Amino acid sequence: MKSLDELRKIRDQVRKDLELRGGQHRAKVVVCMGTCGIAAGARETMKAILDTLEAEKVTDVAVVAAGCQGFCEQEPLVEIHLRDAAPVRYGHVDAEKAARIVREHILGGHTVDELVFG
Amino acid sequence: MRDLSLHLLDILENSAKAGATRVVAGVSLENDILTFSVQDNGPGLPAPVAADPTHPYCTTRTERPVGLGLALLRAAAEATGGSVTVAGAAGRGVRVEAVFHLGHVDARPLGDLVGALVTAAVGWPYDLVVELGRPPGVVLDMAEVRRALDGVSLAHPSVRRWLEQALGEALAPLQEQAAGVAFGGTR
Repeated sequence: MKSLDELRKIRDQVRKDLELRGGQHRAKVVVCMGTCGIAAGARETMKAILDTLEAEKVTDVAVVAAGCQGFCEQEPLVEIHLRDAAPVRYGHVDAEKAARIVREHILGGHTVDELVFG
Repeated sequence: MRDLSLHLLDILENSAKAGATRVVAGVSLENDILTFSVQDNGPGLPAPVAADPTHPYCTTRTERPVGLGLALLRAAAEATGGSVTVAGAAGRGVRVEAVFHLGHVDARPLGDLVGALVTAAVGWPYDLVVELGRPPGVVLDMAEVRRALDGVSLAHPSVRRWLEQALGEALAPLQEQAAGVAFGGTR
């Protein structure tokens, strides 16, 4: 296994960055990763979300996976939980739409109405 | 599923749903025989699934009475002349093993194995352990990674890069070999 020393350095740097911003996440993103989600391309969707956050140098957004929510026909499904706001669920989120949702909703604060599901 | 790595990602979700805290994912490739194994420490197979684990209508799901993960895995493996075994006595966790012949004309490509494993390692709350080869050697232990990170998020870009590098270096020879033995591959 690769040495963990580098990882410890990353940890210390991340902590320093987080302290500068008060240590709280501004948003949580949930990507549905059941069989249906994965078959519909959820891995690429999650990758696009993480890549966009990285490109925008955003490090205070948590991205997590979840199982099937029962809306398989809408996969890939993504939920955005902004702090102090009701969660918004988006359907058919491919990589391109994922990047748009990150930029407009998480960073811009505006729901992307035409992509909202439910 | 478009490729075999997505099947591995898919069955790794089952262990999360079962509440496992430690899951060992093994990957090995001998000649053109690819083996995925997943061993978790969850509660074992529940009654509705134990009867016939790879049957779509034997499921614990409550959203609808169909579960396709293991059924699709079995179809993908058997299409290459391989097989899937699922064992899980109550209290002993579940072990899934899938064997594929990558040289078979109907074998789908291996795909982005590193991406699938990083997604599972970051996405699911249990400690994923990745083992490579036979006899297996540990190439990633998320329990140690979590200890080293001490509360820092796994989804942080720098952490994800580290994980991609760690698994990328370890799995590169296998991915290359897989491309070589694939039907119509670069052998």
